[in-house]
Amino acid sequence: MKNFSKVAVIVCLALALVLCAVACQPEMPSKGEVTIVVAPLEGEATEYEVDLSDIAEDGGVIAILDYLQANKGLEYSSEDSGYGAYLTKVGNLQQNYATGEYIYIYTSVAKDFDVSEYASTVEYQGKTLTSSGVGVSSMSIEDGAIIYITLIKY
Amino acid sequence: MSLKHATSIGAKKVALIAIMTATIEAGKLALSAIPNVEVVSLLCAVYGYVFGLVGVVSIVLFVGIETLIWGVNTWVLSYLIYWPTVCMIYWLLGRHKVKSRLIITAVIVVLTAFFGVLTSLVDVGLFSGFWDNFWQRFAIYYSRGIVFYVVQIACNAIVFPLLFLPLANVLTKFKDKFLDNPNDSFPLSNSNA
Repeated sequence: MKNFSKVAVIVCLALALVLCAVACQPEMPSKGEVTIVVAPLEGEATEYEVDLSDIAEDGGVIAILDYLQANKGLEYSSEDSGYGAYLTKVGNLQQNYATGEYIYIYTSVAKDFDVSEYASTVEYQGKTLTSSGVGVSSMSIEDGAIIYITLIKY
Repeated sequence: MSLKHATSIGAKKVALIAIMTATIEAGKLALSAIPNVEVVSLLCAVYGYVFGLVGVVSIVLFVGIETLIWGVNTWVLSYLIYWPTVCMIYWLLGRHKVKSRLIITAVIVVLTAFFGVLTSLVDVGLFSGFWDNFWQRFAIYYSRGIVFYVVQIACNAIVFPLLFLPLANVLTKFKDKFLDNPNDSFPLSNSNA
């Protein structure tokens, strides 16, 4: 029984560590074009076209934001958690606890659509985008994808 | 039992509930940086096993504190269903004096697996009537979180065989000293008063 317990503990520990390490790597092709839209609640949205061949690392939306920060002056900040990054500022969008405003992301990539009862949609240039069901660190990118970053008010 | 004695027992229970609630919340916050590695399951189970229904009160208070911190959302419903269930199942194990590590661990493994299913069902809209393509959406939602569910199951499969019985033994001794009548199974209302 003691040996069984030891083996079970070791197996579980190894499983937990491996799963933590491989969890949710975002998909991103090395070629193609992606549109990042930064849209305030009121006023005009700012659009950034990104050629994926310019992105050195395979890191999904975060890698694109890093690229835009370094090359296009789009400032962003995030907090890291065990579940991935949590955006707190993108351009002129700023999380604000006092007013209940938080950064919210819509995507055109069907794989990442929110499937919960809280899913919502937004129209952008004739396309219907759906709120992302995964965190920004886990969002997938595909050629022609539109990532629409805005604020939500609770 | 005199009124003074009954009042003393009542005050002790209030203090105990406060301590149990505080330890669950502290345990939750202390490990919150590590996804799905938690001691809430352990504490809920041990409190149910040793203290019975008083543990359920502390768990409901814990959910209340969590709601004050994080706001109301579907997880509140999941928490109100799940954590008291854990507590009550271990209360039953305690009443039947189950001391097998294997059974105690197997029960929490099944319950933790159920937790992932329950939270996914609730988030996908089980109780709100949003049933369009329900099972398809559930499958997507559950599969997105499966890594975290497995980590939580593995965590409890490690923590319970190692810590449950030692902790339960310590708390049982504490309970015997803390109360003058430890054999009353520590119910909420004291019928002897």
